[in-house]
Amino acid sequence: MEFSNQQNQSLAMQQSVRFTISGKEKNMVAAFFLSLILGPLGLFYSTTVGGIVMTVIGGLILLASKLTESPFLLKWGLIMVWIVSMIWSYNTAKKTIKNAEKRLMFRNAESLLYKILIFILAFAITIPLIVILVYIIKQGVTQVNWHFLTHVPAPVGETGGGILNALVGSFLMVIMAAIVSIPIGMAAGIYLSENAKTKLAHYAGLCVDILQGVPSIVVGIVIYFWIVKPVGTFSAVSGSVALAIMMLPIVIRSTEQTLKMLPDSLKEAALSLGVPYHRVMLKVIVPCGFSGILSGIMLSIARVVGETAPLIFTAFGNPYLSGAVTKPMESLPHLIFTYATSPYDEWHNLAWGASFILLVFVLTLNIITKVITRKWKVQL
Amino acid sequence: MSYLTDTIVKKRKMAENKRLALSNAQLKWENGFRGLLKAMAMVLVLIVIGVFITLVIESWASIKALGVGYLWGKVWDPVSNVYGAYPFLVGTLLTSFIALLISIPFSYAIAIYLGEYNPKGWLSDLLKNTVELIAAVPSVIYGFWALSVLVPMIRSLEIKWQIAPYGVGILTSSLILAVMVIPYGASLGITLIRMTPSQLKEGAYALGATRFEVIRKVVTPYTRSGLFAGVLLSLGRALGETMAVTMVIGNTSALAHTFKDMLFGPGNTMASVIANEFTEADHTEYLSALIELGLVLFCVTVIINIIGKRIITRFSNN
Amino acid sequence: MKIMKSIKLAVVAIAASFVAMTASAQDNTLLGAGSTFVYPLFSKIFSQYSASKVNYQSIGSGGGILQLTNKTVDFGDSDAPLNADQTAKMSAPVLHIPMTSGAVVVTYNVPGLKAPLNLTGKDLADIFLGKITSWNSAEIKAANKGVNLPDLPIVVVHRSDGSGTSFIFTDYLTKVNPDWAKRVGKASAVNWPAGLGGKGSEGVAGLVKQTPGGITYVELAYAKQNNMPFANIQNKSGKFITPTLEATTLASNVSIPEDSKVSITNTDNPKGYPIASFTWALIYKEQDYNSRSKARATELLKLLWYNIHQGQAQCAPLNYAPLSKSAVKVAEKILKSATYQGKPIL
Repeated sequence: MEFSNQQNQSLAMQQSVRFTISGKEKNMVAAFFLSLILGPLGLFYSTTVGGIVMTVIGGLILLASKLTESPFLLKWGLIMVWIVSMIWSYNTAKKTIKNAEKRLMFRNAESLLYKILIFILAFAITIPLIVILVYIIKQGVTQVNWHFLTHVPAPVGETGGGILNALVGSFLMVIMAAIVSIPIGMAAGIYLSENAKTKLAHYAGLCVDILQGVPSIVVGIVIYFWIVKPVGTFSAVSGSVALAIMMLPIVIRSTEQTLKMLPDSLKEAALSLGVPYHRVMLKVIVPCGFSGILSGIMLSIARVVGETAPLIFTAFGNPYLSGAVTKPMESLPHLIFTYATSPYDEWHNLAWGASFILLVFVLTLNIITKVITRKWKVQL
Repeated sequence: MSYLTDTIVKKRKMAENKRLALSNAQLKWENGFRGLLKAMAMVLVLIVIGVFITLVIESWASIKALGVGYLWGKVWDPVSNVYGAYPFLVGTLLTSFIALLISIPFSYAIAIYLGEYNPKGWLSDLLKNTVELIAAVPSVIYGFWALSVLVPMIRSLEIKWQIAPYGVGILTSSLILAVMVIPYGASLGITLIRMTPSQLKEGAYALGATRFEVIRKVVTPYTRSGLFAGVLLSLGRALGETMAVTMVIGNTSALAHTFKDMLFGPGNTMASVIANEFTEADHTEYLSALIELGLVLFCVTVIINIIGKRIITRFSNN
Repeated sequence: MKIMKSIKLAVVAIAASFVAMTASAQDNTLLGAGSTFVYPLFSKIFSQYSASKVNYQSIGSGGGILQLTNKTVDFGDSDAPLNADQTAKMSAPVLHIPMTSGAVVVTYNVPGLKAPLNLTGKDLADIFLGKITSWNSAEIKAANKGVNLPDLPIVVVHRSDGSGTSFIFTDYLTKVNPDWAKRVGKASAVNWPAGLGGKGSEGVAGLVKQTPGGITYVELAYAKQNNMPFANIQNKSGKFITPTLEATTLASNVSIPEDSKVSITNTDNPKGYPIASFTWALIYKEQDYNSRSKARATELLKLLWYNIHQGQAQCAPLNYAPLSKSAVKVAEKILKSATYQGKPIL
């Protein structure tokens, strides 16, 4: 047997490791199958300590399940004990193998198995995505036609009708939210990137993180008390304000990060030419980072057009087409929520069509954003 | 001679004054702009403080009446004005933790795959885009799909296992929550795993370690705190998720009695009970009890998010 | 950059013109909120009514009362008259105008049944208390001799939101089962001892439709619209009554007090259906609040006047019992008592 230098080294490494390989060499396969059949008792083959521990635990589970009279606990508890025993016996048996080549073979096999496992688990995520997309497309695409897009929902029990009120409502509310949040968000983002070391920047950064984590329903409650109750009516404006608050963290973070990536030399060159500060920021720096900022804006719009919870208590819903922003207004996600939980089949169909349109819109925005970030890389 | 120097001096002074005037005007614009930026940053802080204050003020009636015992009160009975948040705490924690447990292997696998095995290439781009698309789908759509597809599936499973065929319940909402939460842990994990210094890994390889051993003994211990932060952030997201959970959780404010019912039966989370009952809270104690729930939710998510972000910044700065 | 700028300008211009154009259009839509019980009827009546647009959101009677208290809607609708607590919360007197009466039926999903089940009131309460847990239990078998009942667990489904329908149902259960009266009581949102919660009549009907073994309570209109079976309930006289239009009309044929608040569950009428109730529209007596215009108040009252007269034609096709002549007279009187700055409107 020829040992290469590398294998020599690894052999040396292994032999100077903490535990010494002493005692009998156990067969890993035998260990595995023994504990598969006998459970914790099979563990005794490879390690006495382990065997005692697992048998005690198994006994405790038997006792506990008898006390609580739960066959559920018994079944699942014993399954866990079995699995742990199998893994334990396999591992300890593996450690007793003396032959370096044999060990290497097993280690390589392990590594390959792990790689396959990781591959399967990682790509498993594509399954729900494909399943969900296909289902919604299948259910929704048949609903969408010109009538669907240009009419409001029909009264209960009648077929036909569409989602025009929700389309217009979502459009208006998102535009209003964008008009409010984009200037504020960009300004705050510029401030945070320019004055990163000040105390205000530290606290403002903290607040951005907090806002990003606040559940959307809490935002809805707060806006109800800030706007809806004092004014006395539900309105699209209050809905837009709630949406704007949810858009802010995303816009701010993307602006700040994009601007931080730009080199200082750009700003300093402009300043040294005598360009006033506001011109430097608005005409030089921001246009350079435009793709990053734009992608942040589009992502925030995509996020907010699908939000329902803040709109339940603010925009309320409206079965009619209405452009009056100081009155209640319907929106796509709210319509989906209301109609999906109803028992009427016609309403379910409307909800599927609306889901299809919402999904297509959100996914298109995301794809466009990706294309923008790739094609218009931040000009350095 | 002096007349010439006088005019020259005068002209120079005039030019200087003009320049000064120009710079003064410009300075005013600049300072105004800077002030505007600062003001916008302050607006941010004001919004967060405002949110907190509003929540506290509106829940004050309930805080005063019920005190701290609210948190472990087991009965939620709007009729007799007895409010206890315990059933919803249980529901929220159960759904979030089960969702986390289910999602951790998947997000870990995605992070390892995209961070270690395959950082570039068309296959990894495909996976990355898939993960981002999952994060982009609105939660109502997840809820609607779960209601139409997942619930009947779980129902037939329950019929097979001789459990009450609710269909909706804690398990179903944990499942859909797990799918929604995977992207958050995964994207954070990818960034962190890519940050392991290559010298450490190469040293291990030089010692003859296999890929699996490098990942297990070098990468994972190194990124452990970061991965924990990723788990925390996913938890924060799961805790606050409202719509999808409301649609499939079964909406019961009573505590389950048996283990089986606790897992397969209906329940309520803090967010879903607020969504369901806010528009009908017709007396002050009821409304402020609901808002106190919102306050608890707010505080818990804020704390978890801050801890998570702090761990990450400490990790990346090291 | 120039392209970007012109695109930005165009978007802003379109949005601004849209907002201006639509906001300038007078919005006279009347806002209502409340009972899901009456929603199918209101939906039909309002689509026929051409004088104004009505935006009615069926968020449950509790929600309607809350919104009326907050003065964010023009009218509410509730299946339960305001109790003392709610009346105190309203800052001004509120008028109850009866709209129609309807039956609350018990619908279920038991596969394999050929005819509707018979249920006694006491058994019904025990089911919802969680004491009777299987469809082939002795009590249900006793009321349904000769019917082959499957060994299926009962899945109780109740309303998770504040609901006038729940009030009607629990009002009835309180009258027929002392255990229920002691443990649970009657209200629009009670501490249900068992079962799943669903939001709105829509939610519970949807749940039961898909859950084998499910049982819940909804308006007759919902059950019929969704082709769901409903039980015959034993009334005070001991007969098992099928919820029909006639049975409901018989139950609601009682003398109505001046303020129109009356409970007709567990009716004395031998052929009447025991779980029936009126539903009332709620408006403030004095319509000059929150700077409402007289025109708006008049429109509201005209709408409600239409509801109790021409609108009643829509009741029977949807299985609601139209108001009796005496009920209409009482309703007219109540509507005429609504004032604007002290002067009656109609």
